[in-house]
Amino acid sequence: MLLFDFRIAMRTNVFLLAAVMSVTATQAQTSSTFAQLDSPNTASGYLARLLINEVPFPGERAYESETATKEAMVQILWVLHGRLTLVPAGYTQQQIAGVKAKSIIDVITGTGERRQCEGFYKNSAGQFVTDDRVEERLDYLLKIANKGNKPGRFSELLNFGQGLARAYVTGGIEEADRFANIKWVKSVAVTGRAYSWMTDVNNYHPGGNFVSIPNDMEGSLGGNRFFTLRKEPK
Amino acid sequence: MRMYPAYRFIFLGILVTLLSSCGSVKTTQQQGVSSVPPELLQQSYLYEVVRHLYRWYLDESEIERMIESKNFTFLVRRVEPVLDPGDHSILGEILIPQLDISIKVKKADYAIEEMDVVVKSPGFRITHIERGYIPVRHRLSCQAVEVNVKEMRDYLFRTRNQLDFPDTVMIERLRQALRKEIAKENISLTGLPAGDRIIHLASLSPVANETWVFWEDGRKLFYFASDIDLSNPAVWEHETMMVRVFDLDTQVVVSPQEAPGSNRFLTRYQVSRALFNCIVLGRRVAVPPPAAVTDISAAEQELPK
Repeated sequence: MLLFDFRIAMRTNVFLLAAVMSVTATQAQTSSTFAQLDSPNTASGYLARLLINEVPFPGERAYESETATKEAMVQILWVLHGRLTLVPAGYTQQQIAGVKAKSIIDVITGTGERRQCEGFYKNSAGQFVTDDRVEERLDYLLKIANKGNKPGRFSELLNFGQGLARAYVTGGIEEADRFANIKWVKSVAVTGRAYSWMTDVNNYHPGGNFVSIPNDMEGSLGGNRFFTLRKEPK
Repeated sequence: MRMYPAYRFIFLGILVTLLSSCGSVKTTQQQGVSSVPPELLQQSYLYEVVRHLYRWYLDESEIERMIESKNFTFLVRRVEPVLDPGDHSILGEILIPQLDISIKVKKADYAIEEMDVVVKSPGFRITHIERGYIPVRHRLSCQAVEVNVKEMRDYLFRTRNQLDFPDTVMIERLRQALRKEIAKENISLTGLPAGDRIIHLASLSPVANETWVFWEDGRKLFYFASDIDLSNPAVWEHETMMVRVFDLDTQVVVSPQEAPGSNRFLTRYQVSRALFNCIVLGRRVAVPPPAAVTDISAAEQELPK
């Protein structure tokens, strides 16, 4: 990891699920399993399967980096969320999601033969299910993630996907985007959401209008310190 | 048809280097541009990229647009995203403004500890091809390579039927992988003729680490792609991570508008292109059932069309 790693986020939501992940990872390590997924018949397990199914892992075509794969998962979640609740004026949900959806599961499965996401559908009994190939790849990824004596990139990515899905299912996009609702840091009014992160050592600070998100707001995640912005620029 | 073992692709890379100063290629470096890997600026490499587009993406009208001009410009740049620690891969982008096509390429160089695999490609491989307007700010950060359109057109014409198939070792690995994949499809084989399954293998490209296979009996397309070089035996140990399957009876539409927003379907045009490459230009290969594989060399024999 770079000692000094500073990136202004164009896609602001990318960073924000690491807290969920770190909890999951801790739980995983105490049970000697580095990564695990919720049951596929739960909304969080089903959503996690989709997020993980749609992104490249190390060795797979177009893999770029752990960060890029996590970004992709977050952006996929935003697509699903947008299709469910943020249909732009002038469009119908049917036009952009191919289905009249009441839940994130409906958005994922689509309807009938017009499935939205390959491998994810409702069976004749109306249960949301996945193709065998989806489970097979997940099992394979889990097997790799849980090999050896320490967690690596595979477990990190699997736990991230599951953490993201779990946070969304329990608390919606605001919970998934856990910094979105921050209004104040100490006495400073802030915009909410994180716009920067830096390796959390030696009090690095991006300066300017960036405001460090403190520990009690889980601003230190995965070795990084996250920063929001002053509501009123200096 | 010729067979191309992995070393011939390496040989091609060396040849490309030697020939790079030949031909009518003109490069222009803009100030402030981070250095572009020389391999990406070589005419022979860029020709291979265009040949891949020609075979898999371009249509008539685009070829016509291409040959309207005297020169054809590639804009090439290095892309430097933050990679994982220890990842020494090099990424680049080739922009073709005349066709509004952007191509991302990667020369992978990293290790996967959990899999005990080193991912190291011998050259730059295409990872993404995107159509659409190329923003000016992207063009500014590029190094331009101009080539003569007539020469390139002649090259494409001359090589339009050039076929590059894997060597027998890789064919056997592919055959084993397909045998497993076919078994997963849960298709009743009782209605099919007993014995070998017939597949059609598309020609490979030295600039794209992927291959398409049409399974004739099962009416399915298999798409194999990986960051790990296909000539690396390790990739075939993890084929679960590199295959996508398209059922031609249920996953083909004329227009994506028939199922808006879905990532499930191929268009009839895409499938036509894949079938042309697999059946017309491809190689017909038998996949014997596991019990029947006693003589690999016999099984490897090319079947008549």
